[in-house]
Amino acid sequence: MKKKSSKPVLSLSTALFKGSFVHNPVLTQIIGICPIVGAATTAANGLSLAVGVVAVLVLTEAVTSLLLKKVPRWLRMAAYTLLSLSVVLTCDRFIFSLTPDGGAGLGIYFYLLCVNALAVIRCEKFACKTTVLNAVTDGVAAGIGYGAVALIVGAVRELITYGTLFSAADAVPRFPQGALPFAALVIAGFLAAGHKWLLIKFYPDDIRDTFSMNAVYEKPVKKDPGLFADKRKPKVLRDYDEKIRPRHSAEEKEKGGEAK
Amino acid sequence: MTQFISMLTAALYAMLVQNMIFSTGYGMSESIRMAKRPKHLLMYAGTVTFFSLALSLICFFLNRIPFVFALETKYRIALYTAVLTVLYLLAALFCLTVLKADKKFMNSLGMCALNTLIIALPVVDFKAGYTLAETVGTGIGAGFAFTLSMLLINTGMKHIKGNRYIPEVFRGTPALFIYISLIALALSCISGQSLFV
Repeated sequence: MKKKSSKPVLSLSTALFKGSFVHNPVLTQIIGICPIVGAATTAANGLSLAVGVVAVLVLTEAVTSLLLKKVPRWLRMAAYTLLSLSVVLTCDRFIFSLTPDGGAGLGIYFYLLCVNALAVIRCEKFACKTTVLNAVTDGVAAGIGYGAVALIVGAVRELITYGTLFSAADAVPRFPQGALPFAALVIAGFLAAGHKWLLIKFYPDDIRDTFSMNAVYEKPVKKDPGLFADKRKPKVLRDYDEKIRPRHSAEEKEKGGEAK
Repeated sequence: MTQFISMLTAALYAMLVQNMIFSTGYGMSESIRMAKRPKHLLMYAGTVTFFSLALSLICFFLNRIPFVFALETKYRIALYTAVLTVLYLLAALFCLTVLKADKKFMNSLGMCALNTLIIALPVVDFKAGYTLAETVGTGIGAGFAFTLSMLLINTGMKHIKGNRYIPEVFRGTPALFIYISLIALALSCISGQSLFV
């Protein structure tokens, strides 16, 4: 029997790119969005979340791959929480120093990273089945992908709310509603659409939209039929196209022939 | 009677006026993931309500201890997380040994117990200075809020699913994001947030 090779299938750069961009955990699977919705209200907060998530993912995935492979799943779940909690409690001071308000804007959301779904899912789906190096690479990639979304959402919300970038601490909010949860979700929705457009264009074989089920969620058509293609037209317009327009054009041709 | 009314008010507040999932984002990704499996909706709802109520009550009595009352937020969350982990392990052991739960249930138990909604709830209770009745109310209300959010998201998924008018790049996850944002916007208005003044 052949032994499975422990060599990574993808190169490091490809694994990082695919893990962070192509299979972005937030934009394709909506995983762990609580801190993005609640705390990514400024670019600095988004950056802090990004650093925190990378730290949590790398350590949790590494320890899972190293020690927890043979532990039953229900026990592993508790271990992930305690591991993430230890990371969050250790690095909070450093991460809060990245924000101009000393982490006040992050509130309890930063500490809630200890029960973030992203760490649990990555550990269960990947880290407990692979080598430490692969697990760490996956942690970095998923963390970068998550962090990039947090940073972009935070930056856009800061621009909308304060009209500034990375300096919201002293600014007076011009449009405070930009900090409400719905703003984060709308921005994330448009980001997900942009991400999907790029995937359809450049990586059509790599599209894995978790919510792409059945009809809505079918494989993308390569050639877009356009907004007014037959299937999307109202019935009246379709009838016009099928029955009346050919008759009109035939009549016009006849008239043209007579005039000549 | 007064206690019952305040419990009911807190529950309704946590569920409808300031729905904890849509207005704060707590437990949102879990509720989206669970909404994909409508068959298990009742089981998820019951489990989440049990954990939210149990942790809120335990933490309410823990906060009576002067040492715990004086803790920083950071250590308070650490303590609540430790309590929740123990509670989860006890529940898992009970389900395995007494109820002989199957693998599927055990897998979802962790997702229902260890999420941001359950941990955030006692912190919110403490900050708001809720009484015992209000704590029970928010515990139950958070469970119902979770159920309501699962139902709303599931209904949205069904409607989005067959809709051919959605542009191709918005199908799937982007459409779901926009749909959830609209519910969050509606709930912001219910809670009295003025949007465009």
